[in-house]
Amino acid sequence: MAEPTDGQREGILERLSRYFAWVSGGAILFCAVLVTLDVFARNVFNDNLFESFEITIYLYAVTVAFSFSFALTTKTHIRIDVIYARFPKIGRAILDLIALGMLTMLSVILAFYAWSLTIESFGLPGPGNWGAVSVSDLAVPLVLPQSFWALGLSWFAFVCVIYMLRGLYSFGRGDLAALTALIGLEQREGEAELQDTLDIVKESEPPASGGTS
Amino acid sequence: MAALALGLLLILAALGIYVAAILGVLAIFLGETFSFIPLLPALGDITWSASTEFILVAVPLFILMGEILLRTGIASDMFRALDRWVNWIPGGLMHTNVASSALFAATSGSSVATAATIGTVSIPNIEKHKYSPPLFLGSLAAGGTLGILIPPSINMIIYAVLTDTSVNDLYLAAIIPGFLLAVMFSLAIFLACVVKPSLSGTRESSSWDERIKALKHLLPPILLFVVVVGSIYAGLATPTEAASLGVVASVLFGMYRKRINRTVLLMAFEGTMRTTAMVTLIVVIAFFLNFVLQSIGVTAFVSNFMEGLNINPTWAMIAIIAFYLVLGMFMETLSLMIATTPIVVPVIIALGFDQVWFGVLFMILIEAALITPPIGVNLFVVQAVRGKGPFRDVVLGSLPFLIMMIVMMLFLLAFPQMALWLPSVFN
Repeated sequence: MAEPTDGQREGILERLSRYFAWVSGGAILFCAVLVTLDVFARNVFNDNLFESFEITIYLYAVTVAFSFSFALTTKTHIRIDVIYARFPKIGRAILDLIALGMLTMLSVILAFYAWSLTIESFGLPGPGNWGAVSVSDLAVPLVLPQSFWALGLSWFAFVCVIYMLRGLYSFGRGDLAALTALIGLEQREGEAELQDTLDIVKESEPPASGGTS
Repeated sequence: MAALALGLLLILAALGIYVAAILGVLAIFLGETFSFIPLLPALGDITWSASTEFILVAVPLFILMGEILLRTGIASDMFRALDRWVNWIPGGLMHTNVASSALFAATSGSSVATAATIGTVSIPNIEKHKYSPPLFLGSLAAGGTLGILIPPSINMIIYAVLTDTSVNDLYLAAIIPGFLLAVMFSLAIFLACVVKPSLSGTRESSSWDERIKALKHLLPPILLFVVVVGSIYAGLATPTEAASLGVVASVLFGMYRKRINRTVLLMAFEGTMRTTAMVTLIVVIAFFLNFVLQSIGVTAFVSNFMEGLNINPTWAMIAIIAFYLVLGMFMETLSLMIATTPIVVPVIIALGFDQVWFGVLFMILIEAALITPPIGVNLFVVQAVRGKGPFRDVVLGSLPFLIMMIVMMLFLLAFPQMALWLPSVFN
């Protein structure tokens, strides 16, 4: 059942974002194992074996950057609907576009300055030809994690821009339903997580007994 | 001017603009308007250092741990096991709700998941054992919020990162108030059931044999709690390392129960990264906003202003509590916490309060925000799980627990040592 559960047809952007999330989650699990081994190594042999600290922070930065788009395609980024919900359909559609417009602006700015930082690191003096390196035994050239991180943020910006264009296109055609399906704020906060949890509990519950007896 | 800006922000937020985007645009606008040197070029540097903050890695790790626990059925087993131990007390299952929420929340960290999981197992018993619905539902909604206060809390990690507070100190400070609040919830149920016995359903009692047998289902969550929180307190691991231990331990439990497979892992990964991305985007942007506020002198201005006011700190704190209780009725809690921390915490310090102590109080305020109408996520969750009856039941039933939260905050105000004693012993 590893198929999409969001009830929407999944395009290439959505699918890729989901794959990125899978890989990212796997990377986080990998970090957990690595850090655990290091905790044991430190407390038993008094030594850090795997440099888990540094690997973990870089993997975190990169995986999260690549997951921002997944939170967009699954409508998880936080929006509040106190006034929004009181608007008529057309008003909400316009608010959706304004909201996405602002997010798109932010995502583009983030990606731009991420690249500018990466280029700056590359230009800084370092031991090799790769610019600034991290202050540790690993001496990782910062360009390496930073360019992956900037790439992730660029992917987020790209998905935002495409969503914006799709949203404007739907709006231009007067297809408000498509717009809402794409970027509308339909669910209450926590609803996706609630639905997930309910599905899980239902699955893991033995069918015969409903509760305690 | 500041009030106008704040009002504008709140309106933008309520209009459904992405919270992260609002904070980002605000930071850029303030930086461009009020700073002599351009601040925007620092954006790359600041987001990079925020994204590589080791302590923040604890967030996806704890979420992953919760996701795995949820998908391995530990929660429902624990609920039944706990029930054997507390079903004889007036209020019966409602104590089980509170106790298992406290225990599960302590290991999973998500209040939505806690309320939904325990609620699904527990709610069918309302009719079966003839409980009065409101109090029963309230115990579920309120119990689910305990995870924010009882370590390892994800909200506390975010507070710690934003305010440069030690997570260890926060975790130590929160443990007594956390468990005490759970006991006070139970006390509220007990008192209500003694005064009005009809609230309590039919009780049963279990034999000692059954109780002993049930213990094995309590073992995984307790063990996990000991591994995660114990390793931090014992100084063996930092919070992020403890979270890693927790993830590995929960995967091992899952494998022991033969519930780990490809699908479970992929779904857990999805859930983890979705939530992590959502949280991290806001946190990273808040870092930049924090930097801008400090650079243009807002933070210092607010501190000086508060010191100049010469008001009674206790009354000021009560005003802050009231402010959050009101705002919490309407605002989503994570955004509420992250957006207000950069301004409120300097105020707290200027008033002479301890930021660790306030961290604990702040968590209770956020818990309260989750069960106050009209926007209270846990109220919605419990109502959705119940699937019928008036929403009013859940709201009314949560009221006694809300009162207990307020009492707890007054306790903290009167006896700050409740929170600060443990950290002082360990340091």
